[in-house]
Amino acid sequence: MRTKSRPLALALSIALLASAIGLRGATAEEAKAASKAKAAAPLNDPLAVMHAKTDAVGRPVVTAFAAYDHAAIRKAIAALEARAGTDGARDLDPYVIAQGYAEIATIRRFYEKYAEDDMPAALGKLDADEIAEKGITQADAFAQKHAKHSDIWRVRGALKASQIRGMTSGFTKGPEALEGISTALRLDPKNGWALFAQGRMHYHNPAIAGGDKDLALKELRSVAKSIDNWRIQHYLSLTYDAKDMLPQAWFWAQKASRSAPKNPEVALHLRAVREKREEG
Amino acid sequence: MRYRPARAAAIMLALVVVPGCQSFDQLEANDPTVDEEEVFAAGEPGETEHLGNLHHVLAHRGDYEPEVVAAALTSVAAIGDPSSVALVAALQDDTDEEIRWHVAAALQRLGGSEARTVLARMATSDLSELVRSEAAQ
Repeated sequence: MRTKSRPLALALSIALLASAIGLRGATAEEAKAASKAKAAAPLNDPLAVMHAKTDAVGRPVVTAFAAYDHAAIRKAIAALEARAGTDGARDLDPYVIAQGYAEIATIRRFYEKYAEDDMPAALGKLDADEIAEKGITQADAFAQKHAKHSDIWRVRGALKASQIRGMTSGFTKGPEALEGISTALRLDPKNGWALFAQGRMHYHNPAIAGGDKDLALKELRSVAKSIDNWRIQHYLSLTYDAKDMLPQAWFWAQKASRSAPKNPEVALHLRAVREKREEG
Repeated sequence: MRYRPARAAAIMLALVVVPGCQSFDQLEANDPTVDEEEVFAAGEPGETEHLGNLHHVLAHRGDYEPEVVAAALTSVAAIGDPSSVALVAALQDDTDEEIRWHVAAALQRLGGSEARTVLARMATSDLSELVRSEAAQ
Protein backbone atom coordinates (compact mmCIF):
# COMPACT_ATOMS: atom_id res chain seq x y z
CA MET A 1 0.00 0.00 0.00
CA ARG A 2 1.27 3.45 -0.80
CA THR A 3 1.34 5.66 2.23
CA LYS A 4 2.98 8.88 3.06
CA SER A 5 3.36 10.57 6.45
CA ARG A 6 2.62 14.24 6.47
CA PRO A 7 2.30 16.36 9.56
CA LEU A 8 -0.80 18.21 8.43
CA ALA A 9 -1.44 19.77 11.79
CA LEU A 10 1.95 21.40 11.82
CA ALA A 11 1.59 22.61 8.23
CA LEU A 12 -1.86 24.01 9.00
CA SER A 13 -0.57 25.84 12.04
CA ILE A 14 2.29 27.37 10.09
CA ALA A 15 -0.05 28.38 7.26
CA LEU A 16 -2.48 30.00 9.71
CA LEU A 17 0.35 31.82 11.46
CA ALA A 18 1.80 32.97 8.15
CA SER A 19 -1.58 34.21 6.99
CA ALA A 20 -2.13 35.98 10.32
CA ILE A 21 1.09 37.95 10.00
CA GLY A 22 0.52 38.70 6.32
CA LEU A 23 3.01 36.33 4.74
CA ARG A 24 2.15 34.66 1.48
CA GLY A 25 3.51 31.52 -0.08
CA ALA A 26 5.65 31.70 -3.19
CA THR A 27 3.66 31.47 -6.40
CA ALA A 28 4.08 28.35 -8.49
CA GLU A 29 6.15 30.38 -10.97
CA GLU A 30 8.46 31.70 -8.25
CA ALA A 31 8.84 28.27 -6.73
CA LYS A 32 9.62 26.83 -10.14
CA ALA A 33 12.28 29.45 -10.80
CA ALA A 34 13.85 28.88 -7.37
CA SER A 35 13.82 25.14 -7.86
CA LYS A 36 15.47 25.42 -11.27
CA ALA A 37 18.11 27.83 -9.99
CA LYS A 38 18.94 25.39 -7.20
CA ALA A 39 19.12 22.49 -9.60
CA ALA A 40 21.37 24.45 -11.94
CA ALA A 41 24.11 24.85 -9.32
CA PRO A 42 26.26 21.71 -9.56
CA LEU A 43 28.01 20.19 -6.57
CA ASN A 44 31.75 19.54 -6.34
CA ASP A 45 33.21 16.06 -6.60
CA PRO A 46 36.28 15.95 -4.32
CA LEU A 47 36.98 12.32 -5.22
CA ALA A 48 37.32 13.29 -8.89
CA VAL A 49 39.79 15.96 -7.75
CA MET A 50 41.62 13.35 -5.65
CA HIS A 51 41.77 11.05 -8.68
CA ALA A 52 43.19 13.82 -10.84
CA LYS A 53 45.72 15.08 -8.32
CA THR A 54 47.16 11.86 -6.95
CA ASP A 55 49.54 9.67 -8.94
CA ALA A 56 49.54 6.01 -10.04
CA VAL A 57 50.52 4.97 -6.49
CA GLY A 58 47.50 6.59 -4.86
CA ARG A 59 44.96 6.19 -7.67
CA PRO A 60 43.82 2.65 -6.75
CA VAL A 61 42.36 4.15 -3.58
CA VAL A 62 39.86 5.97 -5.79
CA THR A 63 39.38 3.33 -8.47
CA ALA A 64 39.41 -0.01 -6.60
CA PHE A 65 36.60 0.86 -4.20
CA ALA A 66 33.86 0.19 -6.77
CA ALA A 67 34.82 -3.50 -6.80
CA TYR A 68 35.45 -3.56 -3.04
CA ASP A 69 38.99 -4.58 -3.98
CA HIS A 70 40.39 -4.24 -0.48
CA ALA A 71 43.71 -5.84 -1.47
CA ALA A 72 44.42 -3.16 -4.09
CA ILE A 73 43.41 -0.40 -1.68
CA ARG A 74 45.57 -1.81 1.11
CA LYS A 75 48.51 -2.16 -1.30
CA ALA A 76 48.12 1.48 -2.33
CA ILE A 77 47.91 2.58 1.32
CA ALA A 78 51.08 0.62 2.14
CA ALA A 79 52.95 2.22 -0.77
CA LEU A 80 51.81 5.70 0.20
CA GLU A 81 52.75 5.12 3.84
CA ALA A 82 56.17 3.78 2.81
CA ARG A 83 57.02 6.94 0.92
CA ALA A 84 56.07 9.27 3.78
CA GLY A 85 59.01 11.48 4.72
CA THR A 86 60.86 10.68 1.47
CA ASP A 87 61.34 12.92 -1.56
CA GLY A 88 58.67 10.90 -3.36
CA ALA A 89 55.98 11.82 -0.85
CA ARG A 90 53.17 14.07 -2.06
CA ASP A 91 51.38 16.69 -0.06
CA LEU A 92 48.05 14.96 -0.76
CA ASP A 93 49.17 11.52 0.47
CA PRO A 94 47.72 11.62 4.03
CA TYR A 95 44.32 12.62 2.60
CA VAL A 96 44.45 9.75 0.09
CA ILE A 97 45.54 7.31 2.82
CA ALA A 98 42.74 8.46 5.13
CA GLN A 99 40.23 7.96 2.31
CA GLY A 100 41.71 4.49 1.75
CA TYR A 101 41.23 3.55 5.39
CA ALA A 102 37.64 4.83 5.27
CA GLU A 103 37.03 2.55 2.28
CA ILE A 104 38.61 -0.47 4.01
CA ALA A 105 36.38 0.22 7.02
CA THR A 106 33.30 0.39 4.76
CA ILE A 107 34.17 -2.87 2.99
CA ARG A 108 34.88 -4.64 6.27
CA ARG A 109 31.62 -3.38 7.73
CA PHE A 110 29.69 -4.73 4.75
CA TYR A 111 31.06 -8.26 5.21
CA GLU A 112 30.65 -8.03 8.97
CA LYS A 113 26.99 -7.07 8.71
CA TYR A 114 25.70 -8.79 5.60
CA ALA A 115 28.09 -11.48 4.39
CA GLU A 116 30.21 -12.68 7.29
CA ASP A 117 30.81 -16.09 5.75
CA ASP A 118 32.31 -14.44 2.68
CA MET A 119 34.61 -12.10 4.61
CA PRO A 120 38.06 -12.30 2.99
CA ALA A 121 40.49 -13.74 5.54
CA ALA A 122 42.94 -10.84 5.21
CA LEU A 123 40.16 -8.36 5.87
CA GLY A 124 38.75 -10.34 8.78
CA LYS A 125 42.12 -10.26 10.53
CA LEU A 126 42.12 -6.46 10.62
CA ASP A 127 40.84 -4.71 13.72
CA ALA A 128 37.99 -2.41 12.70
CA ASP A 129 38.75 0.20 15.33
CA GLU A 130 42.43 0.20 14.46
CA ILE A 131 41.70 0.78 10.76
CA ALA A 132 39.65 3.84 11.71
CA GLU A 133 42.28 5.16 14.14
CA LYS A 134 45.03 4.88 11.50
CA GLY A 135 42.87 6.83 9.09
CA ILE A 136 41.99 9.47 11.66
CA THR A 137 45.70 9.99 12.44
CA GLN A 138 46.35 10.66 8.75
CA ALA A 139 43.29 12.90 8.47
CA ASP A 140 44.35 14.94 11.49
CA ALA A 141 47.87 15.35 10.09
CA PHE A 142 46.47 16.56 6.77
CA ALA A 143 43.89 18.85 8.39
CA GLN A 144 46.59 20.47 10.50
CA LYS A 145 48.39 21.57 7.33
CA HIS A 146 45.23 22.30 5.33
CA ALA A 147 42.75 23.71 7.79
CA LYS A 148 40.37 24.90 5.05
CA HIS A 149 40.29 21.62 3.14
CA SER A 150 36.63 20.62 3.26
CA ASP A 151 36.79 17.00 2.21
CA ILE A 152 39.31 15.85 4.80
CA TRP A 153 36.62 16.55 7.39
CA ARG A 154 34.14 14.44 5.46
CA VAL A 155 36.70 11.60 5.43
CA ARG A 156 37.35 12.04 9.15
CA GLY A 157 33.61 11.92 9.81
CA ALA A 158 33.32 8.71 7.78
CA LEU A 159 36.12 7.13 9.82
CA LYS A 160 34.42 8.12 13.07
CA ALA A 161 31.12 6.73 11.77
CA SER A 162 32.85 3.43 11.01
CA GLN A 163 33.62 3.11 14.72
CA ILE A 164 29.94 3.10 15.65
CA ARG A 165 28.92 -0.33 16.82
CA GLY A 166 25.68 -0.22 18.71
CA MET A 167 24.01 2.49 20.73
CA THR A 168 26.78 3.17 23.25
CA SER A 169 29.46 3.97 20.68
CA GLY A 170 26.77 5.78 18.68
CA PHE A 171 26.37 8.30 21.48
CA THR A 172 30.07 9.21 21.43
CA LYS A 173 31.18 8.57 17.85
CA GLY A 174 27.92 9.69 16.22
CA PRO A 175 28.31 13.38 17.16
CA GLU A 176 31.97 13.27 16.10
CA ALA A 177 30.99 11.82 12.72
CA LEU A 178 28.31 14.48 12.36
CA GLU A 179 30.82 17.18 13.28
CA GLY A 180 33.10 16.01 10.47
CA ILE A 181 30.29 16.24 7.91
CA SER A 182 29.12 19.62 9.25
CA THR A 183 32.64 21.06 9.12
CA ALA A 184 33.10 19.76 5.57
CA LEU A 185 29.84 21.41 4.49
CA ARG A 186 30.65 24.64 6.31
CA LEU A 187 33.99 24.86 4.50
CA ASP A 188 32.43 23.93 1.17
CA PRO A 189 28.62 23.87 1.03
CA LYS A 190 28.92 22.36 -2.45
CA ASN A 191 30.97 19.36 -1.35
CA GLY A 192 28.93 16.62 -3.03
CA TRP A 193 30.47 13.78 -1.04
CA ALA A 194 29.82 15.56 2.25
CA LEU A 195 26.19 15.97 1.21
CA PHE A 196 26.16 12.27 0.30
CA ALA A 197 27.57 11.44 3.76
CA GLN A 198 24.78 13.52 5.30
CA GLY A 199 22.16 11.72 3.20
CA ARG A 200 23.68 8.37 4.14
CA MET A 201 23.53 9.33 7.80
CA HIS A 202 19.88 10.36 7.44
CA TYR A 203 19.21 7.02 5.76
CA HIS A 204 20.94 4.85 8.36
CA ASN A 205 20.14 6.63 11.61
CA PRO A 206 16.98 5.81 13.52
CA ALA A 207 14.52 8.73 13.75
CA ILE A 208 15.40 9.25 17.41
CA ALA A 209 19.00 9.93 16.36
CA GLY A 210 18.13 12.31 13.54
CA GLY A 211 17.39 9.73 10.86
CA ASP A 212 14.99 10.94 8.18
CA LYS A 213 14.52 8.96 4.99
CA ASP A 214 12.55 11.76 3.28
CA LEU A 215 15.48 14.09 3.80
CA ALA A 216 17.96 11.37 2.79
CA LEU A 217 16.11 10.98 -0.49
CA LYS A 218 16.22 14.70 -1.25
CA GLU A 219 19.93 14.91 -0.42
CA LEU A 220 20.83 11.85 -2.44
CA ARG A 221 18.78 13.06 -5.42
CA SER A 222 20.56 16.36 -5.24
CA VAL A 223 24.01 14.69 -5.24
CA ALA A 224 23.04 12.31 -8.05
CA LYS A 225 22.31 15.31 -10.29
CA SER A 226 25.98 16.33 -10.09
CA ILE A 227 27.94 13.14 -9.45
CA ASP A 228 27.53 9.99 -11.50
CA ASN A 229 28.72 7.30 -9.08
CA TRP A 230 27.65 3.77 -8.13
CA ARG A 231 27.60 4.50 -4.40
CA ILE A 232 25.13 7.36 -4.75
CA GLN A 233 22.98 5.22 -7.06
CA HIS A 234 23.13 2.35 -4.57
CA TYR A 235 21.99 4.54 -1.68
CA LEU A 236 19.21 6.00 -3.80
CA SER A 237 18.01 2.46 -4.40
CA LEU A 238 18.27 1.60 -0.70
CA THR A 239 16.28 4.69 0.24
CA TYR A 240 13.56 4.13 -2.37
CA ASP A 241 13.35 0.53 -1.24
CA ALA A 242 12.94 1.64 2.38
CA LYS A 243 10.11 3.93 1.25
CA ASP A 244 8.42 1.10 -0.69
CA MET A 245 8.94 2.92 -3.99
CA LEU A 246 9.93 -0.29 -5.71
CA PRO A 247 10.08 0.78 -9.40
CA GLN A 248 12.47 3.59 -8.44
CA ALA A 249 14.50 1.22 -6.22
CA TRP A 250 14.76 -1.23 -9.12
CA PHE A 251 15.91 1.44 -11.59
CA TRP A 252 18.64 2.72 -9.27
CA ALA A 253 19.75 -0.78 -8.22
CA GLN A 254 20.29 -1.61 -11.89
CA LYS A 255 22.11 1.69 -12.46
CA ALA A 256 24.44 0.95 -9.53
CA SER A 257 24.98 -2.59 -10.74
CA ARG A 258 26.01 -1.37 -14.19
CA SER A 259 28.31 1.26 -12.66
CA ALA A 260 29.92 -1.23 -10.24
CA PRO A 261 29.36 -4.71 -11.66
CA LYS A 262 31.87 -6.34 -9.32
CA ASN A 263 30.60 -4.78 -6.10
CA PRO A 264 29.19 -7.44 -3.74
CA GLU A 265 27.05 -5.00 -1.73
CA VAL A 266 25.39 -3.66 -4.87
CA ALA A 267 24.86 -7.23 -6.15
CA LEU A 268 23.29 -8.31 -2.87
CA HIS A 269 20.85 -5.41 -2.89
CA LEU A 270 20.02 -5.91 -6.56
CA ARG A 271 19.03 -9.50 -5.77
CA ALA A 272 16.91 -8.38 -2.82
CA VAL A 273 15.00 -5.81 -4.91
CA ARG A 274 14.53 -8.30 -7.74
CA GLU A 275 13.04 -10.81 -5.30
CA LYS A 276 10.70 -8.17 -3.88
CA ARG A 277 9.52 -7.31 -7.38
CA GLU A 278 8.91 -10.94 -8.20
CA GLU A 279 6.95 -11.42 -4.98
CA GLY A 280 4.90 -8.24 -5.55
CA MET B 1 -5.70 25.22 34.20
CA ARG B 2 -8.24 22.43 34.62
CA TYR B 3 -7.37 19.00 33.25
CA ARG B 4 -9.86 17.92 30.58
CA PRO B 5 -9.58 14.19 29.82
CA ALA B 6 -11.72 14.41 26.65
CA ARG B 7 -9.60 17.19 25.22
CA ALA B 8 -6.39 15.37 26.10
CA ALA B 9 -7.71 12.23 24.40
CA ALA B 10 -8.62 14.23 21.27
CA ILE B 11 -5.12 15.71 21.11
CA MET B 12 -3.56 12.29 21.58
CA LEU B 13 -5.75 10.89 18.81
CA ALA B 14 -4.82 13.75 16.50
CA LEU B 15 -1.12 13.14 17.15
CA VAL B 16 -1.53 9.51 16.20
CA VAL B 17 -3.91 9.89 13.25
CA VAL B 18 -2.92 13.17 11.57
CA PRO B 19 0.66 12.28 10.61
CA GLY B 20 -0.66 9.19 8.81
CA CYS B 21 -3.01 11.17 6.55
CA GLN B 22 -2.17 11.66 2.94
CA SER B 23 -2.32 15.10 1.41
CA PHE B 24 -2.39 15.66 -2.34
CA ASP B 25 -2.59 19.45 -2.08
CA GLN B 26 0.37 20.25 -4.30
CA LEU B 27 -0.46 17.62 -6.90
CA GLU B 28 -4.05 18.82 -7.05
CA ALA B 29 -2.86 22.42 -7.46
CA ASN B 30 -0.57 21.35 -10.34
CA ASP B 31 2.25 22.86 -8.31
CA PRO B 32 5.63 22.21 -10.02
CA THR B 33 7.34 21.98 -6.62
CA VAL B 34 5.28 18.93 -5.64
CA ASP B 35 7.50 16.20 -4.25
CA GLU B 36 7.89 12.82 -5.86
CA GLU B 37 6.42 10.93 -2.89
CA GLU B 38 3.14 12.80 -3.15
CA VAL B 39 2.98 11.99 -6.86
CA PHE B 40 3.93 8.37 -6.26
CA ALA B 41 1.29 7.98 -3.55
CA ALA B 42 -1.41 9.06 -6.03
CA GLY B 43 -0.97 5.88 -8.04
CA GLU B 44 -3.31 3.24 -6.68
CA PRO B 45 -4.61 0.60 -9.11
CA GLY B 46 -7.93 1.68 -10.58
CA GLU B 47 -8.04 4.95 -8.58
CA THR B 48 -8.49 7.63 -11.22
CA GLU B 49 -9.11 10.56 -8.85
CA HIS B 50 -5.70 12.10 -9.51
CA LEU B 51 -5.23 10.92 -13.06
CA GLY B 52 -5.84 14.40 -14.49
CA ASN B 53 -3.16 15.90 -12.26
CA LEU B 54 -0.74 13.10 -13.13
CA HIS B 55 -1.41 13.73 -16.82
CA HIS B 56 -0.70 17.40 -16.20
CA VAL B 57 2.75 16.45 -14.83
CA LEU B 58 3.46 14.35 -17.93
CA ALA B 59 2.21 17.01 -20.31
CA HIS B 60 4.32 19.70 -18.63
CA ARG B 61 7.48 17.65 -18.20
CA GLY B 62 9.76 20.71 -18.46
CA ASP B 63 8.17 22.31 -15.40
CA TYR B 64 8.91 19.37 -13.09
CA GLU B 65 12.00 17.71 -11.69
CA PRO B 66 12.85 14.40 -13.42
CA GLU B 67 12.11 12.37 -10.28
CA VAL B 68 8.61 13.86 -10.11
CA VAL B 69 7.94 12.95 -13.74
CA ALA B 70 9.33 9.46 -13.04
CA ALA B 71 6.93 9.15 -10.08
CA ALA B 72 4.02 10.30 -12.28
CA LEU B 73 4.93 7.62 -14.83
CA THR B 74 4.98 5.01 -12.07
CA SER B 75 1.61 6.19 -10.80
CA VAL B 76 -0.18 6.21 -14.17
CA ALA B 77 1.23 2.71 -14.75
CA ALA B 78 -0.15 1.57 -11.40
CA ILE B 79 -3.58 3.11 -12.11
CA GLY B 80 -3.56 1.34 -15.46
CA ASP B 81 -5.90 3.60 -17.41
CA PRO B 82 -5.36 3.29 -21.21
CA SER B 83 -5.93 7.05 -21.62
CA SER B 84 -2.39 7.55 -20.26
CA VAL B 85 -0.60 5.76 -23.10
CA ALA B 86 -0.29 8.72 -25.48
CA LEU B 87 1.12 11.04 -22.80
CA VAL B 88 3.55 8.39 -21.61
CA ALA B 89 4.64 7.58 -25.16
CA ALA B 90 5.28 11.27 -25.85
CA LEU B 91 8.20 11.07 -23.40
CA GLN B 92 9.96 8.20 -25.19
CA ASP B 93 12.72 10.50 -26.48
CA ASP B 94 13.27 12.42 -23.25
CA THR B 95 16.87 13.41 -22.60
CA ASP B 96 16.80 11.86 -19.12
CA GLU B 97 17.57 8.13 -19.00
CA GLU B 98 15.58 7.67 -15.78
CA ILE B 99 12.45 9.09 -17.39
CA ARG B 100 12.82 6.95 -20.52
CA TRP B 101 13.28 3.85 -18.36
CA HIS B 102 10.05 4.68 -16.50
CA VAL B 103 8.33 5.31 -19.85
CA ALA B 104 9.28 1.78 -20.91
CA ALA B 105 8.22 0.32 -17.56
CA ALA B 106 4.89 2.21 -17.69
CA LEU B 107 4.15 1.14 -21.26
CA GLN B 108 4.82 -2.47 -20.29
CA ARG B 109 2.11 -2.22 -17.66
CA LEU B 110 -0.36 -0.16 -19.68
CA GLY B 111 -0.17 -2.41 -22.73
CA GLY B 112 -2.07 -1.99 -26.00
CA SER B 113 -0.93 -1.72 -29.61
CA GLU B 114 0.46 1.84 -29.36
CA ALA B 115 2.45 0.89 -26.25
CA ARG B 116 3.85 -2.20 -27.99
CA THR B 117 4.91 -0.19 -31.04
CA VAL B 118 6.77 2.35 -28.91
CA LEU B 119 8.36 -0.39 -26.79
CA ALA B 120 9.61 -2.18 -29.90
CA ARG B 121 11.26 1.01 -31.10
CA MET B 122 12.80 1.75 -27.68
CA ALA B 123 14.07 -1.82 -27.36
CA THR B 124 16.17 -1.45 -30.47
CA SER B 125 17.12 2.19 -30.72
CA ASP B 126 17.28 3.79 -27.27
CA LEU B 127 20.73 5.11 -26.39
CA SER B 128 20.71 3.46 -22.97
CA GLU B 129 21.25 -0.28 -22.57
CA LEU B 130 19.21 -0.13 -19.36
CA VAL B 131 16.24 1.41 -21.19
CA ARG B 132 16.54 -1.01 -24.13
CA SER B 133 16.58 -3.90 -21.71
CA GLU B 134 13.45 -2.67 -19.88
CA ALA B 135 11.62 -2.03 -23.16
CA ALA B 136 12.48 -5.50 -24.46
CA GLN B 137 10.91 -7.38 -21.54
